Amino acid sequence: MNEPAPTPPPRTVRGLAGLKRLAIDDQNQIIAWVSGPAGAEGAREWVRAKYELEVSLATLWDFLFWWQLRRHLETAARFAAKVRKTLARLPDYQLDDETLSLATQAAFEVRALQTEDWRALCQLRRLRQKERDYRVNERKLALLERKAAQAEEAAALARSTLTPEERERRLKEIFGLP
Amino acid sequence: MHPEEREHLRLSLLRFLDANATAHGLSASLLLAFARNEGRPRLTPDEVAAELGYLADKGLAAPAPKPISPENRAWRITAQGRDFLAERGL
Repeated sequence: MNEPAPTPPPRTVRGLAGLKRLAIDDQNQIIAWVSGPAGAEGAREWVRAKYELEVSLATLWDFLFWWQLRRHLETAARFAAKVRKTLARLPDYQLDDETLSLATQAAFEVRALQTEDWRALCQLRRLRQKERDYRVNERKLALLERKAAQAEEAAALARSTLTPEERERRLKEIFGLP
Repeated sequence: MHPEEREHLRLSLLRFLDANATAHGLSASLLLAFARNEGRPRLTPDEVAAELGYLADKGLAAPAPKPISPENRAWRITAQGRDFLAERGL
């Protein structure tokens, strides 16, 4: 009797790079979750259930930024293609290919800069950066507090009546030394 | 610009270029506008040009053909640039 085919291992998604490589339908589903009432937590649950993988909220926000910028640039490219088509049809001008390309590139750039969704996108990015800065500052503060507590304990130890051996042992305990 | 800010700017530029799947390159002026909107209002064209040059030297970005003008070249990410981001989980 043939052995049953082994169950394939779950697909793994690693960070933002992994999310970017997902099928378009899956990417759209993640965006729908992030943008919907379930929010980023809901999207995280969905990714966890589907891919058996933990994705941080920060990664999901980065993914949302990447996805929105990609769509935004695609919209600009569609607009530029329409401009090119219109210019190519103008009977009085007879524009050559190079001129058309330059005009198309200019139309692409103008459209990429002139939309409200781009501003919203940047705001999202700034919020994300602020959140990141806040976390870094929190970590720095916690570290400083720990160092201050250790210094205080060490100072109290210096004033204590312990023997030198006991003092050394306590100092090692305070600073986590072997 | 501090080295850390410069590093952030390079990553931002690479991420903008990476998000672009169109047939168009992203011009330096467009990248400048994107980077300024991220919270760097005083960023100058020269600073962006310098970092794009750096990314090009490292093989992470490359000028796209058919620029609007030599001063305003359009840029694309390279395969090496994508690998660079992927290695950092970006």
